[in-house]
Amino acid sequence: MSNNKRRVPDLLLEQYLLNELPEEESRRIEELLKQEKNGMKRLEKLKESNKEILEKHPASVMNRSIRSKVEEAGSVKEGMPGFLYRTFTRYRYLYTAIGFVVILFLVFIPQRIEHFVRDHETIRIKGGAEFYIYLKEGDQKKRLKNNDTVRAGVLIQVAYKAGDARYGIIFSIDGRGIITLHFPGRQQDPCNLTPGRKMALKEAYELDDAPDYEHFFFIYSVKKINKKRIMEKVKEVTKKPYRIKEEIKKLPGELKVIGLKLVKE
Amino acid sequence: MDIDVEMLYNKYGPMVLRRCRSILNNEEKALDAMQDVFVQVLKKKNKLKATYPSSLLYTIATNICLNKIRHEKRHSTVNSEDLIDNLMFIDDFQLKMEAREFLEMIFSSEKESTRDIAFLHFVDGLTLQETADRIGLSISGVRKRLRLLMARAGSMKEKYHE
Repeated sequence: MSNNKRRVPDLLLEQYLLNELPEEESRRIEELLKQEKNGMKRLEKLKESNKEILEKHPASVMNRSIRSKVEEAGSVKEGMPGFLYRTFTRYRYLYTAIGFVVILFLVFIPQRIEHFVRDHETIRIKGGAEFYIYLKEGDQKKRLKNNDTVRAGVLIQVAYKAGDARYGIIFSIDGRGIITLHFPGRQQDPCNLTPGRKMALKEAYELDDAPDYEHFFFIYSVKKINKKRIMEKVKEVTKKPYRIKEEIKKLPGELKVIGLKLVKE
Repeated sequence: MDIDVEMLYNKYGPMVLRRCRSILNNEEKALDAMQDVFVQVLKKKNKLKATYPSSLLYTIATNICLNKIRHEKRHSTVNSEDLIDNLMFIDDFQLKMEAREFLEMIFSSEKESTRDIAFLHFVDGLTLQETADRIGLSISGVRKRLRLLMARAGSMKEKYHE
């Protein structure tokens, strides 16, 4: 290929400036730059741009943002969210002691367990809404639990049971902080839940290749809900979905939240 | 061994940000994508043992930006200002949408590395040899991938316009 009128590609220019080209190629690029109209000017502009970027976005600031993103994505320690990991390591001895007491309690007073389970089942059956996420494969569907692992491209079916609740919204937030509204189907539609039996949403949702997780939320209430206000609050914490429950509960309207996180492969 | 993010950023950050800017055309999104590149590097630190990390970082940046564009398209709620802009240039908009749809169709069944090869060669203007060096394939491997890609694109084009 003739090099005479070829504009040096940006990547090669960057690598030349970074001194990351083999010696021979570096010499070749230098020659090409000399031949190229404004070639050397491009190089100078790149140097100026480096300076400008590092001044505008200093390394110390970027380091903090990047590390905080890593922690928020929960990828520091085998998928455990950063804040959980820090809390766990800080209080690990206390947790171990608590765990030991709980085991003793469970071993020596088994009838307590029965009461515990029964009480909790009663609360759920009495009127709390329920939220279901299924992995859909052809005609088959498998119910997914919190922190189950899924891959990009699979179809997810979302369903709910309204219980006593009359209004609700369902959305998910992915590892990039992008919100997808699943119910109601369109922004302008009302948030009325269908009472009674379990309701599957009309359309299944294909998971894309956003990293780390897809966190689903079902926010519901017996009272009419202000969708706009809820979504504004959600937008404030898209990068920290683990905070959604506490943030939503600060809003008026007796809102309740069920969250279910799917971890991306 | 932990990665020194500040050192890495000081050396490669500007290059990565420029790359993200050139693909996303939006400063805020580019900054976010640039951070995602380093997040990915931190997660997969073992992979940064390349002789020339710039190639790898450049490729990661390209992929992250292209994935962001694809993701936004899938989840987009049309912004009224964008819509007005697009309607003002309706022919151009339609052409762009068609081209985008067609490209998505072509690359949906291709390996991610094929997309990298195509981007480096056709968009960035690297020669086959330069592309091969950066992807870590032989020049014949790159040539073969592009030949197959072009063949598949050709037959898809026929079906698309039928």
